[in-house]
Amino acid sequence: MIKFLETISQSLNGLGFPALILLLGILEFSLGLYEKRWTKNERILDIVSFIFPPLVLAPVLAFLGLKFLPHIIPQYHNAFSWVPFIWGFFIIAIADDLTQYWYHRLHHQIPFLWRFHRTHHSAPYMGMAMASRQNIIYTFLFSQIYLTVILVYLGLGYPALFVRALKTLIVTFAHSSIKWDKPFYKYKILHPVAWVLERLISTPATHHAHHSSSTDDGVGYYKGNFGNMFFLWDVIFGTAHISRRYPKAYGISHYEGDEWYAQLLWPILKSKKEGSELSRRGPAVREDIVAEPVLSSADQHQPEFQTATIKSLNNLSPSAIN
Amino acid sequence: MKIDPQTQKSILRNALLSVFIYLLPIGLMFGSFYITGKRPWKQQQRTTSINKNINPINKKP
Repeated sequence: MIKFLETISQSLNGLGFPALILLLGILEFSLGLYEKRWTKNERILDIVSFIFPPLVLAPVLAFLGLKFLPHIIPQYHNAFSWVPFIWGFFIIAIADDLTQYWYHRLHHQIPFLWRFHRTHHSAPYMGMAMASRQNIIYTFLFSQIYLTVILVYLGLGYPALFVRALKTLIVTFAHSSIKWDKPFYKYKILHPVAWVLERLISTPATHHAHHSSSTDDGVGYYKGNFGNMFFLWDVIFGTAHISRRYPKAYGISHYEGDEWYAQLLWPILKSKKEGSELSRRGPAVREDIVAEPVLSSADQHQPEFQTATIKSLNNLSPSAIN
Repeated sequence: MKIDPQTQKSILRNALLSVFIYLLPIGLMFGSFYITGKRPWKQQQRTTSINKNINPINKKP
C-alpha cells in the first residue's frame, strides 16, 4: 500500500501536478466556469505565474539543500532519519502548513504586507487559472518551503514526499471552480462526513469564501479562512467561517485590472491605474466599494441592496484589507 | 495604515498557541517512545557505526 502511495506521490510531485492542473483547467473551461472573465491581461498574468516562479524558485531551493545547508550544518545531514514515518509525516505536515497559515494570515492582517498577496486575490474568478497566481516576491519568500527544505535535509525527505502530494491535491481542489464538496452538503447521509471534512481541510466552500469580493454577508469572508491544506488552524484560532455556500462574486471589489506586470512584480513595477493599491501613490489598503442601496417599489421606506456583496462601513476595520 | 490593537492581540495570542502546536507531534512521538520503550535513534547510531567498520571509506582519519 505504502509503495503504491509512494509511486502516486512521486508521479504527482514530478510532472503529475502540472498535468492535473492543465486537465482540470481544460475541464473548467469546457464547463464555462470562467464566464468570459479571463481577459487578455488576466490570461497573461495567470500563465506567467504558472510557469515563471517555479523556474526561479527551483535553483534557489536546490542551492539551499545541496550547497548552503551542507556547508553550514554538515553534521546534521540525515540526523533525524530515524524518525518513524508516521511521526515524520505529522511533523512535516504541521510545520509546513501551520507556517503557511501564518504567512498567509499576516499578509491579510498586516496592511504593509497586503500588496504582496493582492495579486492572488485580484482574480474575479476561481479555478486552475488563478491557483498559482502570485506576486513573485510573495512566492519567493514562501517561508514554509524553506522550512521544509531544512527538514528534508535533516532526514525527513521520505514523509515530505507524501505531505507535498497530499497538500498540493487539497489546495488545488480547494481553488477549483468545480465544487466537489457540494454533494456532501446536499445529501443528509453525508452530513457527518461534511462536518469533519470542512473543519479538517480546505474545501471549495470555505476557500471560495476567502476569495469572495465581499465579507460579513453570511457567505464571503476574506477576513479569515486562511488555511491551505488544513482548515483546522482557522477553527483553532477563531478565523473560520463555514457557511456551506459559495460567493456570488470573487476578487477585489475595487479591482480595475492592474497591468499583469505590475501585479507580478510590485513594488519593482507599479500599476498605472489611478488610486490602485499597486499604483505609485496608491493606498496600502483601499476600502471596499459598497453596493448602493436601491429603494424597493413595494416599500420605499425599507431600502434593499442589489447584491449580497454588502459590507457595512461600520464593520470596516483597518485589518479588513482585501 | 496601522494594524488595529485587537488584531495585534489575537496574532500574539495565536502565535503562542502555535508554538505549542509545532511542538505537539514531537512531544507525542517521544511520549510514544517512552511508553513502548523504543529507541530508534540508538538503532541508527549502531547501523552507522557498523557501516563505518565494514566500509573503511566511512572511517574518519
